[in-house]
Amino acid sequence: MVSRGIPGLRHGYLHAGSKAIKQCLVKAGIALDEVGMLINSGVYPDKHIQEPAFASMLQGKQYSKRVPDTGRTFSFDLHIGGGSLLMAFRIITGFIESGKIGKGMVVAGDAEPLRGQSSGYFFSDEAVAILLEKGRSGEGFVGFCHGSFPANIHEYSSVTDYGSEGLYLHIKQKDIFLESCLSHSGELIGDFLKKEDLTLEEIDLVIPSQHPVDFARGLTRFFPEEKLVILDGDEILYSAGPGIALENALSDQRFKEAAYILFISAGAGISVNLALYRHPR
Amino acid sequence: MGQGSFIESLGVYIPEKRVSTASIEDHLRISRPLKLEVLTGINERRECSGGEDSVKLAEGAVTDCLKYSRVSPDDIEMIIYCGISKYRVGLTYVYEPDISLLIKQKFGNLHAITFDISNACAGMLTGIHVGSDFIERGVVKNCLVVSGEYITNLCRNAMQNIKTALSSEVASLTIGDAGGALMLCKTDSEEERIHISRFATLGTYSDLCIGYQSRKQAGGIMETQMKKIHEASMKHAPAIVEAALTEAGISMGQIDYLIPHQTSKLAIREGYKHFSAHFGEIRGEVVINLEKYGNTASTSHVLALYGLLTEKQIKKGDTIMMIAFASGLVIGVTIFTMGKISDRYGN
Repeated sequence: MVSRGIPGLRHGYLHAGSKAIKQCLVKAGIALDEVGMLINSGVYPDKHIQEPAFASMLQGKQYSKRVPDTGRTFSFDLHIGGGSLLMAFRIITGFIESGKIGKGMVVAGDAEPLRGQSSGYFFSDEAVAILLEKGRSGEGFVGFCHGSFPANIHEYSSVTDYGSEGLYLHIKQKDIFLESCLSHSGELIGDFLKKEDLTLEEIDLVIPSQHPVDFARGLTRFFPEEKLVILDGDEILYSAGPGIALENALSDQRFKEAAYILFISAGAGISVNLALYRHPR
Repeated sequence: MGQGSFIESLGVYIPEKRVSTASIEDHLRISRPLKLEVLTGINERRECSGGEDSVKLAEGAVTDCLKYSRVSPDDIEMIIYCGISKYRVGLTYVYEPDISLLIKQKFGNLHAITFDISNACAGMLTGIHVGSDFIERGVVKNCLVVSGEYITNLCRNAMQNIKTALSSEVASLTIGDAGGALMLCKTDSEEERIHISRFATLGTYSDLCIGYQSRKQAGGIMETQMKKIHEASMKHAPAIVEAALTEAGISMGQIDYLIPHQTSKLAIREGYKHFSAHFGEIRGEVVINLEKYGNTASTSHVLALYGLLTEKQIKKGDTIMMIAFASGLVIGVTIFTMGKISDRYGN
């Protein structure tokens, strides 16, 4: 289940993310306390809150004094350059396979932590929540892959510091970052598909992160454009990008019709994450 | 019993600069003394200086851990950074790239899966929880869980802000800096393994302790409703801990050492009374080390465990329960049996 929340007039990831969670739960017809694990993979907490885990605040918004949280959900934040959503899928899938949880949820999104107090922040306010549970008849994630390439560590950074403007977020991306993301993605895709005994042609659908800008389109060097979910619009999607691309593919049936779906994300580090999803035929 | 994980080694990094609680209280501009040392049991804590930051604390802890470990840096397959704080070069807070990747780079590892987890003071125990699952499923053979908490800037800011004993920043006066690292490895042994790792998040209480980067002062601010968070913890903890013990097939009577999150002696002693009321007499020793280090956030359990090992208080076969009480509200336990690593420490 994928659901989306947009902040609207009340700015903030807490608002959008909790809305996305709520909508996802309604679609699935379950309550949050049936979800064993909730992972927040958004990079920026509102107002640069560092504690508690933003996931627990998102969780807390689903409850009230009248309906308190019974503690059946364990939540935490996860950060990995550009790829938190896919690593969250990996962690949750693992806990489901181990039998420790029945369902897990990932929430990802972005909103500028302090309005106007940043440079290089061009991301659209968005949030997405995705519910995972044990697949029926072999459907689901069948493989994951991760690579990190610290030689490129200086190509993207996101830090806060204190200057003349007070607390300020600085995001910097070097021109070479996009090419590095694509190049390392290509290396990893080749190795991963070989290990999974698949060819590029056997991948029916590719769901990539939508950042860096032109990353999704840049994957046409490996896959035909019609297999890629590329969200062309004015919005620059960051943490929620792969989730919104997934929602897009679900809504036009491409996801359901594909036998093998490859999720790809690349980001700061450089870290590349891949996830292979299968619909058995 | 199938493949599991065990704690193969651990390490810490403790800054040299000592700051007494008395000196902190002397600087407060309030009319009535807090009697902080009496209230908390904290005599002193360590503070970063001379360029130390979250990353340096973490790197130092990893270096110490690797001294005791049989895993070489090249062979580490997963690195999870679990600190609340991610300061590098003073008070520059690093969102990206991940600190775990900086650790990987520092130690010349080429292949480890790296990511950062954040879960307030339960960070390292969460890292153990996640890393253990990867090991149990055979995805990785080992996992380095590391944290570097450079958090005394919150205390320094609180010292300027606190006007009365009822200030929401009083809890910030208890914190100290430290780095912790722990190597998990796979095992088939029933004699040295993590028996269970179980946590609950009670999000209804997530607003009782909030830490954020200050807009007005360089560094962080932490605002805590101490009484409410303690009451909520005591209300829910016994049932959560009991459920974990039941699932693991272990009784409280089998626990040799209990290491709670180190907040204050008063809170720990009240917690002990509460647990005794629920479980009956608690045979195991409750470990308190905060008199020397204060509350070191996510590193507090590893720091306490390290002390037990280096002082030769702990031996092979001892069963230890680490209890998380963290903002969120996160409550949970990691229960494990100590293995041969006890021979490698305190020699």
